[in-house]
Amino acid sequence: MTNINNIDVNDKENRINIPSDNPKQVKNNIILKNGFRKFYFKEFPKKIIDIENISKREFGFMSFDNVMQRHQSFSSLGRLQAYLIKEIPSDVYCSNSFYNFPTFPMQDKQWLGADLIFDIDLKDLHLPCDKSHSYHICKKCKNISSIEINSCIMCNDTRFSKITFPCKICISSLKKEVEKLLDFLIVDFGIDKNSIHVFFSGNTGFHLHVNVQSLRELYSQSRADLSSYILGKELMPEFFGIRKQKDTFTVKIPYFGIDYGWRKRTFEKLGIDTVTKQRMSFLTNKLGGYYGFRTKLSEIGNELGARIDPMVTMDIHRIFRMPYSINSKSGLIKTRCDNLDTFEPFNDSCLEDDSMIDIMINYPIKFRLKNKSYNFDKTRKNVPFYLACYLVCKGFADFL
Amino acid sequence: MEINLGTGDLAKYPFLNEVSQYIRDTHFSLEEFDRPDMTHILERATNRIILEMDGTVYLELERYEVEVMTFLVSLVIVKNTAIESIIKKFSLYEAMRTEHFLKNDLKEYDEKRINLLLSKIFREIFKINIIKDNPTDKIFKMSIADYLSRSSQFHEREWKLINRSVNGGYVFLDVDETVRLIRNELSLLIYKRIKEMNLPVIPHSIQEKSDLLKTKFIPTQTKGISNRTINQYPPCVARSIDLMRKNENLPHSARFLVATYLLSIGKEIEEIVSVFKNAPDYNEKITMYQIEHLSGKKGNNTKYSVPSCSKLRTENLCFPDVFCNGITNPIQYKGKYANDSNNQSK
Ligand SMILES: [Zn+2]
Ligand SMILES: [Zn+2]
Repeated sequence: MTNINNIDVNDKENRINIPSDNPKQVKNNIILKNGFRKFYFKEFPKKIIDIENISKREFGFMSFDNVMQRHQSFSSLGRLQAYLIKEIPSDVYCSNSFYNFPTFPMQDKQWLGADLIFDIDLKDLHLPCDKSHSYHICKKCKNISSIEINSCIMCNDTRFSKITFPCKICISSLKKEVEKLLDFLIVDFGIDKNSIHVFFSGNTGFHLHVNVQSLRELYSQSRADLSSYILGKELMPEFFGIRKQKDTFTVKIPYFGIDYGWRKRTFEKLGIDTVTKQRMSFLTNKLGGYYGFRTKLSEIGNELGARIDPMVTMDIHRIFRMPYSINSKSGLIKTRCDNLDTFEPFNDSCLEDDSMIDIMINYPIKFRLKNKSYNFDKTRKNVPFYLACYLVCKGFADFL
Repeated sequence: MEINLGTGDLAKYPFLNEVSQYIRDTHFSLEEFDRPDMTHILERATNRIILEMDGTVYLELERYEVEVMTFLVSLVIVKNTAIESIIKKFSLYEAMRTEHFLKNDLKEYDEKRINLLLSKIFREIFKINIIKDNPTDKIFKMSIADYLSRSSQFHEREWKLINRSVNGGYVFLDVDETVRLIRNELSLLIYKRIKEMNLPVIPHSIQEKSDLLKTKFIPTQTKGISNRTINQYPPCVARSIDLMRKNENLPHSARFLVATYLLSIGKEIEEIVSVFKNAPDYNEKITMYQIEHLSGKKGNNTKYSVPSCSKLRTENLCFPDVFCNGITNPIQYKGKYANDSNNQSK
């Protein structure tokens, strides 16, 4: 049952794994740590209000040397902050679960419950624009390529991290998925809006935290079932009254529940306003019978479902990126967005520090940050710290 | 004004607290079963258990006093056999008997009495708040959390939340579905009743009946697969077989794992069927059919493969040991005896 891998898996795999004896990286890390310390000292306490039941949660920290430390616990937010300022981890994780003994090995922790969490990430959206703003960084020498290659042209290593600079389309697509998810949570599951907290993950996705007591007690299997509901997976023709019978089918209109939930979504999508036996029979025939109807259902489910990562939601022993911590893959903050429409991830989640600093750009790059567009060549630049931090964390620049 | 359940209802639901109170009030003692006029009840109880052991739900219903006594003495007879498989199977079939009455009553009763059953059985005993959705239709609703914590033991797709009417935090169900959802809890309730019972000196007449059941329904030892062999299996498989031998009612996913695994290592179908013998709901014909189906010998000729470790993890069936390191499917498990054969051949 103990699985040391269940931290944000993508997070872990995508880290650029520079050997820490690389002199450039040593320097980068020193300056980044300084900036992170300033953040945890000055900005962090202004942003974070509370971590509910903090003493019952497990914390995990990734160090700048890529060492993961789990099974930590803190009695108060103040103590956590003191730890962050002293140790300056590159990434901070916190369990959505509560335990009697958060510092014990997994099998002895005594699970008490867990917030419901959701992860919506660009990697699951498979957008066509992805290729145009994605890069592949060699994990060994940091050489950057704009196309996918098998081995690094500089050092022949075969391990790469994919780095992406999400565009406008990416962000609006992510928001659309978040909205779909919110609709399931609020309308179908009856969850109070105020119990749902939406966060920009700091890099390429959104995280939702749901704090509702009755849902905290759900085990993994039940969470998997909730995930399938949201993903629109495994809709059966029988649910719509279509039953297989030898080579044909029968129709029996469901006598309740037509005007809400997945039945409503589906009937609307099929363009059926009044559900009658004749109408359903006609439509099923048109779609090619029972199996045709089933195929149509899986298409509809796929389209109307919200693209969450089910593994994140069903894992009740995970540590998840902590709200208001810095994401070291981007140097941006995991930021709460109360108004999804107006939220702009690349404006609203930057560090504050705007003191000027010199960096060397490693690869030509176009991007937007804090309401400004940049188009940098491979050259030396004097830029505000929040911007330097963004490019260095992304692997596109080094401090000088 | 408080409405109470009538004796007609209590006869159908003899596990309710009101019934226990009634029995206490009558100062009834088990020795009375040695009296000739109690033979009828004793015979009824024995007949009921035998029928249920043979796989039939007992549906007869007499007047309250007879029904309550029959239930009580059934529990005593079953407990007194001290055979786990008898106790478990009896509990399951009694749950199914309750289901039968409950379905009828929820369909036929008026609003008031329906609400009474909902509160006495669902709310007081099982702590589920079930609400009758509207006065005209027999549709019930329960919170999503209450639903999920029960439905996840079923593996048929129709019980998946997505194939349910869900709105505003509630799952909407018809009578049959509502009642089916609590079968396991009913069965567990009766099981606990039996387990927690303190048996006084057992009168001769009852002892006789327990002995009869013991000889008739002594559990058959699982033949063919030895303990040592089972210990060589991956821990997920070994654990499920072990639970089954202890008469636990395993979820479908665990049975699927055991059957596909044993098929994959080339066990004969008869041998595999014998592993399932102690399951409380065991039925040789059905089990045989299901395993033949999985093996690809029946049905659409697809041979089912052993579920992957990650799938098992999501089903809470994975209990890895050190030998599980690095494997992604139970069939790759080599285990603690892996080197034994090598040593011998050297
Ligand atoms: Zn390289
Ligand atoms: Zn894009």
